[in-house]
Formats: sequence, structure tokens, C-alpha cells
Amino acid sequence: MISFSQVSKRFKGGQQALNNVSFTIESGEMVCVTGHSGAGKSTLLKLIAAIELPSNGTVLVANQNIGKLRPAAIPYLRRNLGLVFQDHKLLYERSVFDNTALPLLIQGVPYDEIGKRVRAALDKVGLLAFEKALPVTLSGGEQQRLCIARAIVSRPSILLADEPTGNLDPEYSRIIMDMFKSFHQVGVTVIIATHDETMLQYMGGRKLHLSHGTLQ
Amino acid sequence: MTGGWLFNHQRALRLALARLLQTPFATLFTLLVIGLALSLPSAMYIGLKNLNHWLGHLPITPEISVFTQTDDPAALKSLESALRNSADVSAVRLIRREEALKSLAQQLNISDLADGLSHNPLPHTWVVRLNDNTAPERFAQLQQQFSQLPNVVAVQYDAALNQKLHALRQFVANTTLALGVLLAIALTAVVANTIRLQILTQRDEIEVSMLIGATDAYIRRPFMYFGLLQGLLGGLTALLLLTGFSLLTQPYLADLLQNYGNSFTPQMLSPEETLALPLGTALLAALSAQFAAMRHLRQMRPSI
Repeated sequence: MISFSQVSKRFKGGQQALNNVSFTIESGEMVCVTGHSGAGKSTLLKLIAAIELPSNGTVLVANQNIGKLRPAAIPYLRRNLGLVFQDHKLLYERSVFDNTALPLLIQGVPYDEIGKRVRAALDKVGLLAFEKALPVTLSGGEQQRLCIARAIVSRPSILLADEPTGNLDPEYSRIIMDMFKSFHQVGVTVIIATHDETMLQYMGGRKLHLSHGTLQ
Repeated sequence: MTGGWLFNHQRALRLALARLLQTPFATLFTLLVIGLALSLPSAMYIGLKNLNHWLGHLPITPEISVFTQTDDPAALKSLESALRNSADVSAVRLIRREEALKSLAQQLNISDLADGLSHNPLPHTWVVRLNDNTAPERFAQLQQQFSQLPNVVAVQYDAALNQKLHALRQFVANTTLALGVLLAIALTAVVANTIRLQILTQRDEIEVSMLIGATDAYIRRPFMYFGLLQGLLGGLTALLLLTGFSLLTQPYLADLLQNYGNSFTPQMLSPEETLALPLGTALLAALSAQFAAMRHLRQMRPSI
């Protein structure tokens, strides 16, 4: 369960990203966070992953108070999250396989198991044939799918995606959206930040609409 | 779930080795810099060892002469045991007044010196040999102490020479220490700088790793091993340089030493010291790398 109560986030420059936001997301739920660009969607996701800390209010993720988490506890919180970034954040000098294996290496999963799980994840996003390729040789949509494979390989209970269909044509977007739907169907909590109207209509589920940092 | 401690450390060590080999020229130059920085104080240390060793073989020895007028064998005996009583004394030897007169006559080249004198004016002398590293202040204290013993008429020692030798030893020892500290700082700076460069080139990977749940220890570990390997190999490079240097200079040194008699053989590092050099630098470099990584990672932690 994720719950925000009266959360505000002000950046050092004085910019107010979120203002008094409260909501609860049950586990297994699928939620789309919408709003114009700069409305605070990314900040909201970053607060869940403890990439940012709230200026005011309480953010609870799986009963852990993000604002009061010890720095040493943050990595363990993030291991329960799958993060899909708008800019992919792939390692471009590493192969598709190595990129996907990174979370498992970090968690100390034994080598023989890593191979199996990486291939399962790559199979799920349709990239199994590209195992040895470098990310630069992939198209934008394929890179986004690789990012998703990396997010799901450690079987997180919560998946956070920031504009996952940002620069993709409708056909690729559809494939990605179907993937998120299938993760939701197997019980993963899916939270997607997007301003893509077609995606919103296609996905269904609950919508959290942000406007200038406040929830509508 | 976790593959455990050993798995993590093996991985980090492998990664560190791979990174060292990835840039062989940069690695070689770094090792040369570390090796040179270490070989300088090490060479001075060896020099100091040899200096001390050489001084021990010189005919100049830390001695105090204690003069006495008594002829009574029992009194002479009790004086001897009183002199031996001090912890600084390594040996005591008696020069009788007859011997002294004879050697004086020889030195002055007057064979009938004794005949011209109604009685032998010279005293008996107890020559007190002190331990090699006795401080100059101690000589004055012992002089004071010995002159208060019964039947002693005078106590003498070559204060100036002792002071000079001691000052020379102290100077070389302190210079070596200061140079060692200075170059240890240089070593940590060199290692910290290579770690900084490593972190900069791997910035993306570190950031992504942090975002997907890597602990600081996990990220720092390869850098720590990187420093450890650099220190270890740098220490071995220093040993190699020292060996090469001593092989080159050995014939000339042997020539030089011939003039001081055959009793002196040049000293090198002992097996313990040979082992301590690379291990010590490895430890220092690992610590330096650890601190450098900690500092840079703290700066990189996203926005918190």
C-alpha cells in the first residue's frame, strides 16, 4: 500500500512541485497519474522511490515512512520497486543481457539463476533475440522495453513508470501498455505517470489528476 | 535470496582487475608514480640502516674514561662492579697505569720516559663502553654519576664527537620519517585521484545502480579493491625499483667500502620489511580509495 497524506514538495530554488497532496493506492491496483508537463507527476513517483524526500506530510510505502528512512534503508526499499524511466537510463556500453541482469547482480542473486531470470524477463518484453546486442542498436520502443525488462526482472511488487510511451508511435505504445496491463493482472501494483490521452483511455483504472502540484 | 559475502567480494575484485586492465597505460603510469613515490623513502630508510650499521663498525665508539688513583685491587674491583651496574654500559676494560705510561712513551717516541720520572704520574683507567644508541645527554649524566664513585679522580669522554654522531643519526632518521609521511600523503592523493576519475567515467552506471537498489557498500567495493590492487602493485613496483637501483650501484658501493675494510656488508630490506612495504601500501591505498569513493558518492546521491 502506498499512501500520501498532506504531502508537499518544495525544491531548493523555491519551486513548489506538489502542494498538500493526499491519496492512497491499494496493493495490486493500477493507477495513472495525469496532468500537464510540470504538474508534479515525476516528483510524485520520485517521492515513492525515495529519490526525493517530502518537504511536508507523510509518504508511506509498504508501511515505511519515506521521510524518516535511514539512508542505508533506501536501497532495500527500492528493491521492491521496478522503475521505468522516460529517458530509459540504460548503460549503453553494456549488452541487453547485462543491462537486464544489473538489479539481480546488485541483490546478489547467484549467477546460474541470473541467466534464467534475465531470459524470462527479456522473453516477456520480446527482446530475447537481442540478448547480446548493445542498446544503441535498438529502436526507441525496444529500448523502452529493455528498461521494462530491467524493472521487472527482480519481480518487484510495485512498478513505477514515468511517461513510458513518451516518444513512441501508437503501435509501440500499444505493445507497452499491454505489458503493463499483464503485470497488473498478475498482482503487481502499477503506477504510470503520463499525459498521453490514448494511453489513459486504453489503460482504464483509477486516475490521479495533478494540476500545478495539487490533486484535482 | 542473496548470494552472500564471498560472491559480492569476488565480483568486486574481478571488476577492479578488469578496470585496471582496461586502461593498461594509465595503470602502468599510476603504478610507476606510486612506485617512485614509495622507493624514495624506502631507499633513504635502507641508507639509514646502512649508516647505523657502518657507524657501529667504525673505530669510534661511545666510551667514557674513568680515572682512579687507588692501587688496591679490592677497590679497583668494587669500582668495576659499580660501573657495570648501569644499564647503559655494555663493557668495561682496565688500562693499568704501567700500560698507559708505556703507550704514552711510544706515542711521544721517548723510550726512556719512565726512567726520567721518579714515579708513574698516570692514573689507572677504567674504559667504560656504552651501548651504541646512548643519547648525548646520558653521557653527561653518567659522567656526573661516575665521578661521585669512591676513588674516582676524573671522568672524561669525547662529548663533541658523540654529539655529532648522534645528531647525524637523528637527522637522517627524522628526514626519512618526514619524507615517508609526505610520500604516504602523495600516495593517498594519487589513489584518491584515480578513484575520482573512475567514478566520473562510471557515473551513469553508479547513478542507475543507486536508483535500482544498490547499497553504498556495493558501489564502493570495486573502488576499494581497485585502490587495494593499485597499492599492492605500486608497492611491488617500488621493490622492483629498489632492487634494480641496488643492483646498479652495488659494484661502485663495494669499491667504496673496500676503503673501510671488509667487515662491512651493505644491508638491504629484511624479509619482514620486504613483505611490509607492499602490504602496507595496499592497506593505505585501500583506505584512501574507500574514503574517496565515500566522499564522491555522497555528492552524487540524488538531491537528498
